[in-house]
This record gives sequence, structure tokens and C-alpha cells, in this order.
Amino acid sequence: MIRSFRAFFLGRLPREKILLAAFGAILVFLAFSRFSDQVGRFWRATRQTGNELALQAQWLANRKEILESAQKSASSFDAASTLNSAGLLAAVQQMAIDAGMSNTHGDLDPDVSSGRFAVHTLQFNIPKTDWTSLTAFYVALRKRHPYIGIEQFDIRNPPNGTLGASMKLSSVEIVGD
Amino acid sequence: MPAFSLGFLRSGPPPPKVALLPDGLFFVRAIEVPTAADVAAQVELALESMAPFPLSQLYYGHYWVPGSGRALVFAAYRRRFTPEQIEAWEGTEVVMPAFAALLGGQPEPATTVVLAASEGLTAIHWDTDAVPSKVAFQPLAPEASEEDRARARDELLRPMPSKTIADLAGPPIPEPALNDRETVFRCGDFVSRLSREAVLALDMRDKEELVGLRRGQARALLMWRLIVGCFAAFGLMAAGEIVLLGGGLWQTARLTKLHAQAPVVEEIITAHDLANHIGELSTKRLLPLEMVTAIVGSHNELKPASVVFTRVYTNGQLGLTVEAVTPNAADINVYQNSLKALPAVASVEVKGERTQNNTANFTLLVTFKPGALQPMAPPS
Repeated sequence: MIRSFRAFFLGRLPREKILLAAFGAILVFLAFSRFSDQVGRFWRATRQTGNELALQAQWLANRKEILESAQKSASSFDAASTLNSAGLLAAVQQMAIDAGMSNTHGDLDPDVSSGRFAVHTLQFNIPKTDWTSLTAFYVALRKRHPYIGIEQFDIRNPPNGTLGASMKLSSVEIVGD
Repeated sequence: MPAFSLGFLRSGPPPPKVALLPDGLFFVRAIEVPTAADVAAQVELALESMAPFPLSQLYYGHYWVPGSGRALVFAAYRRRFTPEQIEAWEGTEVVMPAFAALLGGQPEPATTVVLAASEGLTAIHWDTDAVPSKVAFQPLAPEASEEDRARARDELLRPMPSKTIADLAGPPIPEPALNDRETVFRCGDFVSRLSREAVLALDMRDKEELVGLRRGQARALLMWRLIVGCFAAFGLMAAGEIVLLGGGLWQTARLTKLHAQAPVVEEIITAHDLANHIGELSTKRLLPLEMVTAIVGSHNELKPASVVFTRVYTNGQLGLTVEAVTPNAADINVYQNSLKALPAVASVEVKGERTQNNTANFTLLVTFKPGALQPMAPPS
């Protein structure tokens, strides 16, 4: 068959030969472009999957140690003293009231939980206060450590404004035994 | 990859288009070739001395095999061919006398081949050399009887002492070759394989015209090879597509595994993050007011009186960012230096310093050393 095609090709006029060869070359170029694109996409996808699987394998291999570590970290907590999200908000608001603050506002972030543990995060805002009240509130917060932790603290004292503060607080909850 | 898949692309050329001319039109001589250098020039020199016409009025060619001390030369007066005959050569790959097609045969020494044609008999005699020592033609009338033919044959063979005589009938037929480096002719059982160089030398057409013709043939061959390359590339890409198809199935299986493991891994990562968080809650404490006290002094003795803090916020466990103003820009450096001198402070950086209405605004980035701060005593 190829011999017949060769005879057919060599029997064409020179310009027909050039056109046929150019047409073939263009088709190969287009096909190769598409093929190399496919290979590239396949290669990237397999590499990404390979990396993700390797990462998963690492996590799975360390599963026992991680769960033991979480258990060990939680063992320093008294389960009865840990706070759920409502408890965290209530406790912090009560501390603010006790420190002489008013108009405070708390927003709870979505909980993060795993097995027996849950972490609650609260954005607490004190729009207006004085240094004495803020110190008293801070000391009260500190007394609840490690059941209430301070993750971020921001004090504003604009030149012609009032002292205010906002903070990000968190608590760990140990759910049952 | 199996060898057969692309092997068909290596098929040799189809039978060439050849014009085999009656042998009776040519005079043929074997000449000595003392050196292998430029045999064509030696042939032309010999022809000039032998032929009654100048070379420009002859169609001629020769047959020579590397290593041989002899070349077979043939020539014909150009005017013996009509313009119509010459026009018929257009598009042929080679034009030569019919007997020349058999010169690539490799017979035993002292062999004579008798080629029968309608116009006569041609005898080609090989002695011990690869190049025939003698070629002779005996014309025959179309109405010649078998006896006449036998007589002519005997006359032809008489001066050629032969151990073997092969009688061939009909013109040699070109056959497909295995590759582009040879041209094959067959006449009965007799097979003649002529190298590419031999065929080029046998082509009797005008040598200048042949140069252009050969260039065109070389270009055509190059383009054919390009076409073959295209076929090969398509074949390889098709094979690649099959590999990709298999790879896609493998990749799908891996993705299924990845998705199946994802919830479990997500749970482990959450547990890990929680363990870290719990660990930080119990072991690391953010001490924002202790940081503020550390940089102003327990009785405000560190901070210059002109510097007023407008905002203080923590950056991680050990960083404190202070936004402040002062009417006395010189106090910024003084304050920075006094902070640098504090044992609890790891670094102090002043950023964004700008003055407006005689008031300098600036930002202090203070980083404390780990463990350098202690929780302050509760107020009594």
C-alpha cells in the first residue's frame, strides 16, 4: 500500500508534491500541538495527584501519634472547666460587666471540632472603656487561662477619641469522656 | 512497540518508470579504466577518440563497478531518435538501452546472456570481471525464422568463449526494490541489481539536463520522506493516545483513592491543628498588657512624654505593633534606642514615619524575646 502511495506521490506535479508535504506537515504540527497539550495536562494531573496521595500517606502514617498528641494536650484540661461557645461568650461578657464595661459585643466564629475536642473562637469588642477597667478585665481573663486564651489583642486610643479594645479569644471544650 | 507497526513505512520505492531503447541503436565498447578517479571523464575521453561524432551530438552512458579496471561504454547518434521518441522520455527516471538493464546481474565467470528482442539478439559476455567484456548485437528481420535466429545466435556466441549461456526472452522488467539505493530488473530468472550510482551513469540523456532532473528527483524524495515522517509521527501519536487512555484509567483509580481517603485525612489534620491549638493555649500565653507595660515602663519612665500611642495590637505571640504620634520627631529615635536597650526586646523597627502639621506619625514594630515576659501580678 505504501509503495502504491509512494508511486502516486512521486507521480504528482512538483507543486502538488509541495502542497501534499506542507499539508502533511501542518496536520502533524496541529496533531502534535494537541497531543503535547494532552500529555502536559495528564502529566500535571498525575503529579498533583501523586503529591496529594503522598501527603495523605504521611498524615495517615502519623495518625496514631497525632491523636495521641491531641489526647495528651487535652489531658492538662479539667473537662468540667472547659467552655462551650455559649459558655465562652457568657463568661467573657460577665467579666466585662464585672470590670465596669458596658455596650460590649461578642461574635462567635464557627467551631472547629475533632472527636472529643472543640475549639470555640470569639471576636469580642469593647467600644468604650478606661485603662483601669481594661486592666481589670484583662486580669480576669488571665485568671481563666488556659480555659480562655487570648489570640489577638488590639487597643485603640485615638487622639481625640475614647479608649477601646477588641480581641480574639478562644476556648477548648472537651466533650464527654 | 512491535516491529511491524511502522515497518511498512520502510518499504522501498515502486518499480521505476524506465525507457529501454532498442540495443541496435547503440555502439558498445569495453574500455580500460586505469584509475578509479573520475571515471565519467575517462569515459568521455575514450568516447571522443572512438566516436565519429562530437560528444554533444551523442546520447551516451557507461557502466562501471568500483574496483573494476574496465567500463562498458555505449553511445548513439542523437539524430537517430525522433522528437516524438525524445518527448516520450519525459517523466521517466532512466533512459538506457535494454541490455544495460541486465548489467547488474552477477553471473559466474565466462557467462554469456543472450537477450532476444523483436529487432534482434543481444549478447552480453562476462569474463572474470563484474563489468562485461563484450556486448554484441545481431539484427533480425521481423519475419526471421527460428533457423535464422539460431544462426544469428551462433554467430553472436562464436567470439565469446562461454561456460554458461543464458537465453532470455523479452525486455527486462523493472521490479520494486528493497530500498532507494538500488534499482532491480528481472528477465526470466535473471535478476539484475543496479546501484543508484550505476543507474545515474547508465542514463544516456543530456548530462546537463540530467543534473536538473536528478535535483528534482532528490527534492521529491525529500518530500516523500517528509510524508513518511508525518505518517510515523501520526503512528507514534496514536500509540501515545492509547498510552494516555491507559494512564487516564490509572489516574481515575488514584483519584478515587484520593477522594476516599480525604475525609479521614481531613479529620487527622483537624486533630493535629486542635492538638497544636490546645498545646499553645496551655503552654504559650499572649501577654498584651505585659508587652505594653514593658515598652512604656511600670511608671511610664521609658516612653518620652511627647509620644502618644494611638493604637497597640499584637502580632503573633511575640510581636507588638504600636501606632503613635509625637510633636517632637527627635523623640522617635530616642525612644527606639531606649527600647532596643531593654533586655526583653529582640528587635525594634520604626516604619511609616511622616510629619503633618508639626506632628510626626510613626509605627513601632517591637519583637520580644521568647520567655522574656512574665504575667504581671494582679492588682492588689
